[in-house]
Amino acid sequence: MKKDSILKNALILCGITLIAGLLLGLTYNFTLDAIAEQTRIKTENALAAVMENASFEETDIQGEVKFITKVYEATDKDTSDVKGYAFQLATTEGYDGTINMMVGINADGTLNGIDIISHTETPGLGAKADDAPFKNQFVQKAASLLTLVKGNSDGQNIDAIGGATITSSAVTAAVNEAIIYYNDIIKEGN
Amino acid sequence: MAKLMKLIKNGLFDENPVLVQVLGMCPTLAVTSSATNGLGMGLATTSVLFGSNLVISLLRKIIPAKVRIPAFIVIIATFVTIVDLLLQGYIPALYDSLGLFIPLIVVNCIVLGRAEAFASKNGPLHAIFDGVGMGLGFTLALTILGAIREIIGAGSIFGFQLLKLSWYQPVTIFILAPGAFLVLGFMFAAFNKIKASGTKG
Repeated sequence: MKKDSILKNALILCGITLIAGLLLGLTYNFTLDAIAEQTRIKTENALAAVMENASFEETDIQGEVKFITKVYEATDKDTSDVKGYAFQLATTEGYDGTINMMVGINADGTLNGIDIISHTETPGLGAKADDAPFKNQFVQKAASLLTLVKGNSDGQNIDAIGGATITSSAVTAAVNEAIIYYNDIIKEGN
Repeated sequence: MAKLMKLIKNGLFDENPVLVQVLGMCPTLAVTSSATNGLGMGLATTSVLFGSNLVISLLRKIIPAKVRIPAFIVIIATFVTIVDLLLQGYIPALYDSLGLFIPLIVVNCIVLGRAEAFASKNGPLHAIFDGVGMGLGFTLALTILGAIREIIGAGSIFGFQLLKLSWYQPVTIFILAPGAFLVLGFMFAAFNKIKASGTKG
């Protein structure tokens, strides 16, 4: 009698988990395309934000890199000249989780801009890395190493976000790797 | 009908999961750094409560008492994962701010608590209303907590700058972890005061 009830309990639980598994599988399949689409839109938006009016082609990453996950060559949509390069970066040196970002460097050796694709930094603090005042500092800087400072953004200085030094330095370090890659591998190679 | 409305009111005020039962403290303290986050987390939890309470109530006569807890958890985890995938695919903006916290709904004791205390003992209609009531009560508490923290800590509400930063220096601690404890403590006090004066009158 007792054995029967254990078997019955196990079978019912098994049935519930089977149905749950089935539902999850269906939902996963149903949302797979939509999720892939969202990821694609986010990446495309970021590419367009760091390099305007360009089409992108992924190139192989050469050498050892810490943050760079993808390197794109950007060609001008009108003249089909090489306009610059876009770097997709992922850093875990922020305050919390991974910061996924995009950096655009012009062929003439200036930064064209940066964009944050996704992050889980503290809202109101580190999350300001995705706001215009911080991101715009990178625009038109020369592609040589940047220094994080407090209070000014002259020359190669980047003004840290108040109360979010860790996030600011993580972003700056990632941008610096893109700059190094650009100088050492892309420029040297040409 | 009056009974059903009473269930909603019960969740919102009389037995508010956060302010009276003091359940689900982990998401309450962690996600409420802004009003939007509080509202989003609350509504995501409400939709899970709605689904899990309904299903558990329907299956209450089938699920054997001895294995009810694993059965409840499987059902809740399934709903949470479905909500997670749907948000990720269709409401990416909300997913961006809540992504980390959605898996936490699985272990949110409000959801398991309502399954155990209410849905497993009542019919599906009452269970739905209990789930929605508790969910809205959770949403209400989280949104107020998030709004207070956002106003003091960043001078904004729902992302709109309320206090000009030229003269208002945001008190950053309020959007960090300690601020959650401070504001929640004052909210408990205020809520108890209101409740106490209500019973006297």
